[in-house]
This record gives sequence, structure tokens and C-alpha cells, in this order.
Amino acid sequence: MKWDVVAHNFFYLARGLEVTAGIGLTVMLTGTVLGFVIGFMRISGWWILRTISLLFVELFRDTPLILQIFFVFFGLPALGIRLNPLLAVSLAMTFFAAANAAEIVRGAIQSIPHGQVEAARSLAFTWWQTMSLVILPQALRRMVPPFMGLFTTLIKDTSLAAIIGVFELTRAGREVVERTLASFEIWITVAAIYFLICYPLSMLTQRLEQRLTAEAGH
Amino acid sequence: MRRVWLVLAILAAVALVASAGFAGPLDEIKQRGYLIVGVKADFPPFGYIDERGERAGFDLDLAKELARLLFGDPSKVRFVTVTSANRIPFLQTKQIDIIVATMTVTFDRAKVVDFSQPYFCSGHLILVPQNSTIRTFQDLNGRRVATVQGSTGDRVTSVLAPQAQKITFTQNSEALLALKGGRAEAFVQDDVLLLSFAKQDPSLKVVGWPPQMPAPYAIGVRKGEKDLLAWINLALVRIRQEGVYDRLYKKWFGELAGQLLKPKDCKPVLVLP
Amino acid sequence: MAYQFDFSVIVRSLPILLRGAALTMGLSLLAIVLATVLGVIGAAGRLSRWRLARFLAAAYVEAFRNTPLLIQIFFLFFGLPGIGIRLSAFSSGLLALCLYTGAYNVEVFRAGIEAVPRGLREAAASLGMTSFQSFRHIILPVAIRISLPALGNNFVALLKNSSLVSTIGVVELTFLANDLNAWTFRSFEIYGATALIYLLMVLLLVFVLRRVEGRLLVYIRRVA
Repeated sequence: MKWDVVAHNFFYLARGLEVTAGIGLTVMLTGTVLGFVIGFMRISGWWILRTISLLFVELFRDTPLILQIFFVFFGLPALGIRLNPLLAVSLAMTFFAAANAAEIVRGAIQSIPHGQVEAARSLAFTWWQTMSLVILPQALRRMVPPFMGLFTTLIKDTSLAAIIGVFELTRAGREVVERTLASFEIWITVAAIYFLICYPLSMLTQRLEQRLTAEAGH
Repeated sequence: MRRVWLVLAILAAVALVASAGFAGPLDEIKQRGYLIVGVKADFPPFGYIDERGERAGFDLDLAKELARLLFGDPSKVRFVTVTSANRIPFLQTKQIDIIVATMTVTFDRAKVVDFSQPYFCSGHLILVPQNSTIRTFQDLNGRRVATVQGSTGDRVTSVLAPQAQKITFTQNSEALLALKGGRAEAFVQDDVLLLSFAKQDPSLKVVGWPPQMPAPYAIGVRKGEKDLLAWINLALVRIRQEGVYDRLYKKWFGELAGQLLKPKDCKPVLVLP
Repeated sequence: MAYQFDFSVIVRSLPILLRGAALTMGLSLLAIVLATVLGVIGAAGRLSRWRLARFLAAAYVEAFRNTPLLIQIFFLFFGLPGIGIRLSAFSSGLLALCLYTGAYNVEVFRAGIEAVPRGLREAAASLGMTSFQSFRHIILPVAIRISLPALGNNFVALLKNSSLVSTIGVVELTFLANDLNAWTFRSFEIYGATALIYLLMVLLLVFVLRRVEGRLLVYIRRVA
């Protein structure tokens, strides 16, 4: 077993990890913002907005993320949009994250009992007042666990960036394996690194979910 | 001799005049101060990582000569690792200025990039373990053959041995490991690469002679960048004239020279299924 | 210089892409079945009386849900040979998909089993069934039907995730799309067409799942 190889190359892997974290956080941010926009479009009163957002969500949730990345990186230059691999991955993952975020937003908002909306309406609340004072405070709390789950998924999905040559943790691992041929040791190590990041997030998500259902009294 | 210099001078003048009107890619590169070149990192002896962990190879030395002619300093070059699959997208998305990465000239590729004059000629051979019974490409039918996705070796295998069981990898190192580990019975790739692998590893040998479907390597630039392409072709001419090409050839291929193809064996043809 | 679209390349490539799609569907269906079995076994482990079984099941679930599928694929295909286990690309891909989706299935089944109404369990016990019998004949069927929607989501995810086995050379849809792209450079047309094929496969799978849910859910209304 060549475990000393792991020790020697740990800093190289750590550099990859930095990029992984960077992509994950950036995409989470942009994806969430876009996701809220699309999510509100999904429940909008206007048919055209509902349809456009539905198409967006279906497109990015029913196709593999790797294919979305390939399309953005290899296919968009046909339309004149040329992005370097890092930007291409970030853009593709933003759309992917936004589609999933939109469903989380929609689900949370629609899970608030409609009786509350009717009560607010009968008190002459405007749509915006209903949203900001009645629905969103409750909905936002319900969105937290699924959003954390989405973040964990995004961190794992950054590994796909390696396929088009972005330097992040998985690509760093591949390069080390090529140099040292210690494939078993390195892949276990890379898996362990991802695990050490994602497991705490998962546990936190589960903890929050339990608190939420307890509070809701279900 | 003086006539050649005259021709070169006229060509240079034309190139200067042509590029004077607008800031073409050549001007951008000159302004930047260094050339960005896409090279292989797993393809000895053209582009690879040596025992000290540093880049080395014929393609890299050639690129350094280009930088020397452009900037007067061979170190004014930055290398970016590319693979057969992503070198053209990297070029098109301006990650790199030129491709000097064992790129074979094919008609399909010529539709999307502009090729320089060829700088090498390479055919395809087969790498097998010493005890293998495979001798020719026809013997590959029915066997497990490792190839690299997007490489000419992959296509040559499909054409010359349609019944071969292809196992396709994304990198040369993966295919080589598969061969050594027994996952594949043969590995088809460019002759120089396989000869170089066999030299480093006595448990392997190269068969399939003579090198099949030879095709030239050339430098790739983005489509339409005429000034850059013209300059590169001029530079290649100068490199040959100054004897630099022969020096590099001897340095990198000296021992294998007898087994390699001559440039005249190469035509820009490759049959695609 | 403007890109010249050539949509005829889609027509010429369609036979190749559809062959890849067939392999994708075959691989996915096989993995779905195996992952479901794995999910049931794992859920039983999670809820077992024995602490060792609970620990092993939980470890399996956490290990495979908190690491990327791509890494799991690479580990099985490139890493295992390091300790002498050499799997083919198809086996590695299939195994990785099963283990990954199986871990998610375990949690779905666990929630489903726990959601089975207490009344049913008590009724089974009062009829003199052993816990294994009541599990097999009463609880499990109901739990499966309760879990179906969430299970269906996992199946759709598996279908999409199957695209990752292209990285180790399995000749499925994404692999062939990459191959075609490497030689024709018609990336927009080819990847666009491939995305549409995946979309159709997913919609087909969702349609089938809805029909199955509809047929089986009838029983829940009668039983619960």
C-alpha cells in the first residue's frame, strides 16, 4: 500500500478542494437567486410566465447535468457564446441548481395551507403583503433543509467539472493517480475528502428537518 | 540562397502590410508578451511530464522556438495541457492561441481549424505484451483493443479491424495501464508514442508494421486567423533552414529515427467510417 | 466566422444515438431492479433489532450518499485493480449505480416502512404472525406502495446518472454523443439531440411510473 503517496500529494489535492468549494458556493448563490425568480414564475398568475418557467424546470431536471455541461461548453460556441471550462461549468450548474431551487420554492410556498391566504385576502392584504407577512416567513423555514440538501448535491456534482478539464478535487486526484499509479489509495482518499465535507452537511440537514416537523406538530 | 531570403522578405512585407490594418490575433499575442500553447502531457516524446515532474517534449521545444522567433526569447511561452478531445474547444474558446499537440490533419478537423504546414509524419502501430500472438491489424479482430477516444488510432482500429472489441479510454495513460493490467490485449495509437512506451517498458513490444494510414501532424490555429497562420508557416520554414528542426528531431527521435516514416510518406488523408 | 448549423447530422447520427439510448435504458432498468432489492435489504438492516446490522446499514447509506457517484465509478473501475479486483467497465458502472441509488432507496423504504399505519402491524401481530411473516406479507407491500413516488424520483435520477458511466468507456448514449462530437464537431446539434433523447426517456419513465403508481395505490386506499 502506497499511503505515503497520499501524504506527499495531499496539498495538491487540497488545491483542488479549494476550487471545488469555490464552484459549489458560487453556484449555490447564483442558482438560488435564479431559482427564486423561476419559482415565483411557476406560481404566477400569468400563463406565459408559468409555461416558460415550467419548460425551464423540465429541461434542466430531466436531462443529465453532464450533458448540460457538454452543451454549454462545446455547443454554445455555435451561438457565439464562448466560455472557458470553469465558466461553462458554473453556468450549466447555475441553471441546474436554479431548476431544482425553483421546485423547492414552489413546493414550500404551496405547502402553506391555503386557508391562510384566504384569511389574508379577506383582511384586504395585497399580494405582496400576503407574501411577505404571511407566506414567506413560514415557507422560508421549510425551504432550509431541502436547500441544504441541494447544496450537498452541488458539492458532489462539482466532480463533473473534471470531465471537461477543470482543475478541482476529482481532476487533481486523476492527475496524482497518473503520476503515481496509486489508484486505490488516492481514490479512497478523494472519496474520504468529499465525505468529510458532505456528511456534516447531511447530518445538519437531517437535524433541521426533524426540528421543523416537530415544530409543525405533525 | 539570396533568392530565398528575397522571397522571405517579400512574404514578411506582405504579412506586415496585411496585419497593419487591424489588431489581429498575432498583434494580441505580441502585446501580451507570451504565446499560450496547448500541448499534451501524456504523449511522449511530443508532450509529457518527465521524472522531475516537469514538462518536456518535441512539441514543447518546437513551441519554444516559435516564441524565440516571435519575442526573441524561447521562455516567453505558457503551456496548457490538452487532450485529443478538448484541444479544439480550448482553441476555439481562446484558452490557447495555438495547438501543438500531436494533432493529425484530417479533413473533418480542417473544417473547424486551420492547419499549418506539417511538422511530422506518423502512422499507426500496435502495442502488445511480449508474449502476444498479435502480429498485424487483422489479428486484432475479436480481441480486446484499447484506444483513446477522439484519436486517429481509434478510427484506424475501426477501419482496419472492424470486429475488434474496442475499449475506449480518455487518456493514453489509462489505455497503457489497461494493457499492462490485462484489461486489453492491444493498444493502438501513433507509432512514435508506442515506440516510446516500448522503449521504457521491456515487457511490451510494437507490432503491426509498417505504420498504417500515415498522416501528418500540424499546428492548429483558429479558423480565419490568417496573419497568425502565415507567421507560423514562415517560422516553420525558418526553423528548418536554421537547422533547428534537424537538431530537435535528432534530440527526440534520434534512436527511433530508423523506424519512423519520412515526411514524404504523409498525405493529409484519413478515411473515416 | 459564423457557425454553420447542419441539422442533417442529427438524421445521420440518429441510428448510432438510438443504439446508445437502448444500452442506457437496459443498463438503467437492470440497475433499478438491483438497487430496489438492495434498498429493501438495507432498510431492513436500518430497522433491525441487531445493532451491528443497524450500524452497517447506516454506514453504507452515509458512505454512498455523501460521496459523488463519479468518484464511486472511478474507484470501482480504476481503484480496485490496485488490490487485484478487475471489473469490466459495464460491471463497474452497473455496480456503482446500484450502490449509489440503493443507498437513497434505503432511506425511502425506511420512511415508507415507518409510515405504515400502526393499526396494520398490530392486526398482523394479533393474527399470530411472526415479525418476519408480518414484514413480508403485510408491511412490505404497503410500504412499497407508500414509497413509490419517492422511489420513482430515485429511478429517474438513476437514468440521468447513467450518463456518467460514459467516463469509463461504456458505450451508452452520452459516450456515443461524445464520440460523434469528437469527429464531426457539430456539438450544438449533437448534444442538443442527445439532450432531447434523454428528455424523452425520462418522460417515458415518469409516465410508466405514474401508471404503476395508479394501479398499485388502489390497494392502499383499501388497506389503510
